[in-house]
Amino acid sequence: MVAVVIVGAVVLVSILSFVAHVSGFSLTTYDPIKMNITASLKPPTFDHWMGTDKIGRDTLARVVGGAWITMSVSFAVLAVAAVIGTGVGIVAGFFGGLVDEILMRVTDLFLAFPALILAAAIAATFGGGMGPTTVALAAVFWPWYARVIRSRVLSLKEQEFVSAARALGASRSYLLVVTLLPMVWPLVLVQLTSDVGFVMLASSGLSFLGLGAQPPAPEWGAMIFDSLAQQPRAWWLGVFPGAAIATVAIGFNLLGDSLRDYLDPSLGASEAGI
Amino acid sequence: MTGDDSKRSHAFNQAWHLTRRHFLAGTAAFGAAAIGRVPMSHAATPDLPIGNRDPKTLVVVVDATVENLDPATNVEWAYGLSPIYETLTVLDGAEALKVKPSLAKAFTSSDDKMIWTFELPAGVKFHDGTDCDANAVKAAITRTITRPGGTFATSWQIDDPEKQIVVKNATTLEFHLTEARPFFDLEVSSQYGFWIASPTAAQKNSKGANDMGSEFLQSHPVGCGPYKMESFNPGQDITYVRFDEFHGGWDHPHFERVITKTIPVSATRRQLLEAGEVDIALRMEPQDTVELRNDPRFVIQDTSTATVQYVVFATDGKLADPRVRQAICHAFDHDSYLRDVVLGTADKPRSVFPSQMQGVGDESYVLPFDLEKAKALLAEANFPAGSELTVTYYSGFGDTECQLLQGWLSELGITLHLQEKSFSAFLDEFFGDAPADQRADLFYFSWWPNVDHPYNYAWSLFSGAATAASGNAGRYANDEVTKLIDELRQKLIDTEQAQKVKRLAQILTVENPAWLPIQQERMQFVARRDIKGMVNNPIYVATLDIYNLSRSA
Repeated sequence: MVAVVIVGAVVLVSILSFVAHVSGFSLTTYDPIKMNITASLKPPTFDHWMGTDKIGRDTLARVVGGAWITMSVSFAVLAVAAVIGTGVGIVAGFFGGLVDEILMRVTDLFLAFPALILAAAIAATFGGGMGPTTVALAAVFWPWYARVIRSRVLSLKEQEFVSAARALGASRSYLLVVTLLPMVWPLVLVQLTSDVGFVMLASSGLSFLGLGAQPPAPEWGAMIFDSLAQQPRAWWLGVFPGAAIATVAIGFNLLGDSLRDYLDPSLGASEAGI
Repeated sequence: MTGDDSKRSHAFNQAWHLTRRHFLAGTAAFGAAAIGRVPMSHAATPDLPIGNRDPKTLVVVVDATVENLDPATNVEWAYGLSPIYETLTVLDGAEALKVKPSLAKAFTSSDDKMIWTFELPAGVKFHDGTDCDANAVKAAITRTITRPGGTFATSWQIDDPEKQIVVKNATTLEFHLTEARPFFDLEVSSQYGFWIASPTAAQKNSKGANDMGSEFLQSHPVGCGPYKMESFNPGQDITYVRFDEFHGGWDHPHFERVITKTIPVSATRRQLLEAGEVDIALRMEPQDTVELRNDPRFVIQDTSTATVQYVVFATDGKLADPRVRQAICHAFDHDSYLRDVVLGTADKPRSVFPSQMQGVGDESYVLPFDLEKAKALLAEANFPAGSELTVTYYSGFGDTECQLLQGWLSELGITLHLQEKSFSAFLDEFFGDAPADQRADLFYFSWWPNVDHPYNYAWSLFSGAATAASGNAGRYANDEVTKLIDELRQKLIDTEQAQKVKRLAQILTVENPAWLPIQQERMQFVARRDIKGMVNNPIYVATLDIYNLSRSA
C-alpha cells in the first residue's frame, strides 16, 4: 500500500511538474532563479517552507523548478538510449552472425568503461551543461538496452509464431517491426521505469561534479553541491533536494517492479529461479 | 540498471526477506534519525580539552593546499613556507611599513638608498647542516633570480646578481642597486621570492640548468627557519618539527611540532576545532565566523588585509567600451552583499587599491548600485540587448559573487554564463595569452601587494607595459595610467605622489574601470583560547608567525 502511494505520488508529481512547466504555473510565489539577498540562508519558515539559499532563493521553488530539469534530462536520456539500444539489440539478435558480432563488440566497447566515469569524460569533453550531459548519459545507457533486447530476441526468434510468420512470407522488416517489436516493448518499458532513478542519480552526480546543470539552473544535484559549504548549519539546502532525488528514484524503481510483475510475470519468476 | 543488477537485487531481497514495506519504513526511520542528529548548535562549555594530543604540538587547518615548497617557484599560499624558510627581514607584527630583522640581525642603507648592507649572525645553519653564511645567501638569491623561466626572476630587480650582490665577509652582504630603492627592506620582507633556501641542497639535487634543484626542493624543502619538514603529503598535510640549531633559540615556550592540514570545507574545519582536535582554523564561512565570535572557547583574530577580491574586465573583447564596464560596476550592490551574504566579515572596497594602501586616502571611488544608470550607460554604448558574457572563476572561490552578478546583470538584459574551473586551469586562462574570443569576458580573482606601495601593486595589474602573465589579465592599457604608475616607481609617498595615486584610483575604478572591486578581505584566524601570540599582518596573507605562537598552561 505504501509503495502504491509513493508510486502514485511520484508519477503524479512528475506529470504535474511537466504540466506546470509547460503551462507556466508555479506552486510557489517565488521565482526559482530570482535572488533576494536580504533573505539569505533563512531556515524553513511559513514564508519559505524549505528555507532559502545563500543568495536568498526559495528552496521550495528551486526543488519544484528542478523537477522539470532533472526529469526532462532523465526522460530525454532514456528516450534516446531506448531507441538506439532497442534498434541495435533487435537487429543484432534477429540477424545474428557477423552483424551480431560487430554490433555487440561496439556495445562491449561502451560497457568496458565505468558508466559514470565515461559519462563524466564525455560531458567534460563537450564542456558541461545539460545538453552534453544528456548526450553523455545516453551514450552510456543505450548498450544496456541493446544487450537486454538482443538476448530477448534471440529466444523469441526461435519460437513458433516467428517461424509461422516467416512461413507466411513475412519480410525481414515486417518480422522486426510487426512481429518482434511488440514482444519486446514490455521489457523496454520495465527497463525504462527502473532506469529513471539511475539516470536521475547519474545526472545529479554529473551536476554535483560541475558538469551538468550550470548556475542558476535549479538542478537537484547542483543544489546539493552548492549546499556543501553551508553544511551542516543550513541543512535544508541539501536535505530537500536530496529527499526529492531519493523519493523520485525509489518511486520509479517501485513502479518498474510493479510494471514488470504486471506486464511479464514470467520475468520475475525466472529471475527468482522459480 | 541492468537485468543482472535487477536480478542481484531481487535475490538479495529474497535472501533477507526484506519486503518493500520494511524497506520503506526503515529508510524513513533512518532519514528521520539522520535529520535529528544534525548538530544545530554547540554546547557552550568554556573549557575545551585537547584529549590525548601533545600540548607542544600545534595543529592548524586551512582551506588551501600547498604542493610546492620551493620558495623560488612557489606562487601558492606562503603559510607552508614560513615555518621552514626565513627572509632577511620581516614586517614587524601587524605593521605594513615597519621592518625588523629576521635572518639578518641588522641592516643599513647608504644615503642615496642604492647600497643596502645586511649583517648575518655567525653560525647559522640550514636544516641540512650546511652553513647559512653570506655566500650561501648570495647563492640562494642568485638561484631564484637566474633559474630559467623562474617565477620570481624579476622579484629582486637585480639584473646581475654576481656583480650586484657583494659578499664582504662571511656575515656581511651588500646589495648594489642600479637605482635608489628607498624601501628595499620592505621588498625583501615579502613572502614571494625572498625566502632563503639551501644552495647546497639545490645544487646537489639539481637535474640540470632548467631545474636548479627545484623539483627536489618542492617536496624536500631545506631552509634555515625554526622548523624543518618531517613529512609532506601534497594537498593534504605537512608536519614540521623544531630545528634545534635555529639561530633564534628555543627559550620561548614555542611549539615543538606543527601540523598543517588542508580541510576544504569550512564546516569540517569548525567541527574539528570544536572537537578539540585542532588549535587554529583559517578562513571560515561567514556564518561560522559570526557564530564562533560568541563562543567563549575561542578567540578570533579578525583584521583587515590588503587583499582585494575583484572581477577583472577583459578590455580587449566585448568590454572594450569603458561605459559597458561602468554599467557592470553599477550593477553590483556592495552594501547588500556585505551585509546579507558576507555578514560583515569583509570590508567594502573603496577603489581597486586596498583601502589602507599608502596614498589612497579615505575617499570611496566605487560606483554605487544603480541599475537605471547602468541601463542608460549600456544604451549610450550601444551594447546589444540580450548580450551574453562569460565569467570564469576557480572552484570554491567567487561562485556566490558571480551568481549575484549574474542575477543583477540579468536585470540589464545581459546573460552571464558562469564557468567554474580548477585552480590550475583557471590560472592557465587568467595568465595565458589566448586571444580575446577564446577567453572569458570577466574573471573573479583576488590580489594583494608584496609591499604596501601603489607602484608595487599597480604596475603588474594595470600598466600598459605589463602582460597577462604579469597579472594584467584584463589586457588593460591606458596611457595616463601607465604614465602615472611609472612616475610612482621607487618614490616615497608624499602629498604629491598621493595625488597621483588618487588619480589612478579615479581612472581605474570610475572613468575607465579595470576592475569591479567586490570586497576587501578581512582575515579571520579562529584559535582555541589557550593559543597565544596570534598576530596578522595585512601584507602576509593567511600566514601565521608560528614560531612565536605558544600554548598557555
